[in-house]
Amino acid sequence: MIEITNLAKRYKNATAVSSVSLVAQDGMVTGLLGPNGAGKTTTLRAISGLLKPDAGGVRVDGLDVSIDPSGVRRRLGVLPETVGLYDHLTVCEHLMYAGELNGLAAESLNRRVQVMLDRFALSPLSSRRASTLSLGQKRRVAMARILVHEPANVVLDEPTSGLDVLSAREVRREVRRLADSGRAVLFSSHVMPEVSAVCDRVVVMSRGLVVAEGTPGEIMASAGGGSLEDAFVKLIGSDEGLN
Amino acid sequence: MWNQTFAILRKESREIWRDRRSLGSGLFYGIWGPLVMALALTALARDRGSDAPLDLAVSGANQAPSLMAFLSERQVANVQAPSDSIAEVRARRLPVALVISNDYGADFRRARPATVTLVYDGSWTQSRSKAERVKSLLGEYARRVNDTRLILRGVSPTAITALEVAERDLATPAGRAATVLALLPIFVLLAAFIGGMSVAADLTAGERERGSLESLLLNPASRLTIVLGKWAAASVVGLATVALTIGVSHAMLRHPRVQAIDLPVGLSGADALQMALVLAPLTLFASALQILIGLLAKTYKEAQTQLSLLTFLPMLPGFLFAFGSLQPAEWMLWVPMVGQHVAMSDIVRGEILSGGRSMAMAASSLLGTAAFVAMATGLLGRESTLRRFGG
Repeated sequence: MIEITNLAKRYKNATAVSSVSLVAQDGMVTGLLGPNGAGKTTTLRAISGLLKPDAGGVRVDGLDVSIDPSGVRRRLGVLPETVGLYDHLTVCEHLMYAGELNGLAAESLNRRVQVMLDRFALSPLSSRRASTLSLGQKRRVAMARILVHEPANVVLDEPTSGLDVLSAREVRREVRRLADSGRAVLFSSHVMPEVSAVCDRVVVMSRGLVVAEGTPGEIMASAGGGSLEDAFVKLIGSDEGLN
Repeated sequence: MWNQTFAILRKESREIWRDRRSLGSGLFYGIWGPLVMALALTALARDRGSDAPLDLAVSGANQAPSLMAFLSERQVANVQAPSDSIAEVRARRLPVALVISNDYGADFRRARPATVTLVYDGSWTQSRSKAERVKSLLGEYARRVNDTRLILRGVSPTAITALEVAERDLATPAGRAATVLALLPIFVLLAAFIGGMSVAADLTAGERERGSLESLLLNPASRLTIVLGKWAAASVVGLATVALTIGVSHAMLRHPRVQAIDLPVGLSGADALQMALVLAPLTLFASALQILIGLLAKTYKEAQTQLSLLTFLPMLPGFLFAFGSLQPAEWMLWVPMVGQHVAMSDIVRGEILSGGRSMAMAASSLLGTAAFVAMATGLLGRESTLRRFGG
């Protein structure tokens, strides 16, 4: 479970997040929805402790990230915006490296890497170098990499951006599977149909604030009907930054 | 923590090995540097100095048979001069030529000053040194003739010799080789900085620029673990470069053609080992500094620029010593690079360093290393390090 309370983060000349509180429950997919610049990435980075908030705090499974960042990271699998694979390492080596950094012992490491290769259909690509992979394949490696250590909480920053329809659908299926296996999944997006199809709960952000929260159905109703997209535009006050 | 450090070291080494580019500069330096020095040394071996035979182009030789006989006694062979010696020397096809005037024979017989013209190019080293030698031989011949003429007239030659200037030029090929070998300390010292340089830039600013730093920091591995792993990887490459440079230098100085110069200094196996032991802690120091600079740089390009500027740092003590503004002193032991520079020069001269001295140098370098690692760890923990790129 991921709990964010009254998070605020200011950069030198701009406020990225004014005050954000949200909870990502175990076994649920929580969508973080908002236009570009709403503060989604800042919020997600604060969860892993990469950014230190000016106010408020983050707890993951009850651990405070400002006190025990390593403990929190062990319970987290975070997919950042940039895939960031190493061109000269093979697919298998990426997974091994991630496992080693997470402190997996040799025997469970090999087993977990094999499970991940199978689950993300990467076995045939296992000894290919990352530089030779397509974007969709790279995203699958990145997903597999953050799940090697079986984290109880998963944070995904725009995991489908730039992917073709089939690859994006594959990612959404995986997101669903993660929640169904009891994990807390928090993922950000600005693609409406995706959010309404996958998420159990949606948190809508705009200009550093949470402007709405609930199931996709509740949000559509509260904004006065229509599609989620219409509701979204109504909630944030304009369609600026949507695409 | 150590398992994770080793995991990072293993992964970085694998990448460095596969990329090759950053590895290349160190290898290039370690092999080509000593080879260039070997070439300079063998060139010196060929130039055997004052007793080597010299071909001198002489025009009008038949005017001065006794001078010619004298010169050939002194290993200077008289070869037929080209028709226009001045043009030949000007075009640098001929280093030196002697033109004997048409009146030489007549003047000489009447004991009047006989004219010979020495044609050379003072801005051309080879020409100047040969002319120097011919000039001194001509002087010697003139003195001899003077002496004979004075004796014939009943005057003792010593009466007109108020001063006897004895010259002893101690420059031997080995002595000149020593000036080349004086570069060796600077040279091996630089290896400690050059080897890990591009690797350090790759592991820090390069990792950030490729967008993989965020993923790395999202792992539970501590910041110190990450810095240590990267520093170790850069150090391995640095140490390999140092070993290679010393090894090739050692082999080069053992080569028969270099040995033929009869060098006053050498680099025995024990000397080479001593050098490596002195330079190892300095290499760790250099890598830690390079990792720190790489993390501070805004871009990969900036990191590369700053790291290449950093290589001037170890050259600095060498320059200061060369220009005489610095004399070896006790305190230098405690200054990384300066202490090692003095030590390298002593080793080249065949000195054996005391244990205490080596320990002092290692201690100061390792202290600096720890400070840089700590600073780099602090920097990696700061969110600005991540934000500086792709915020």
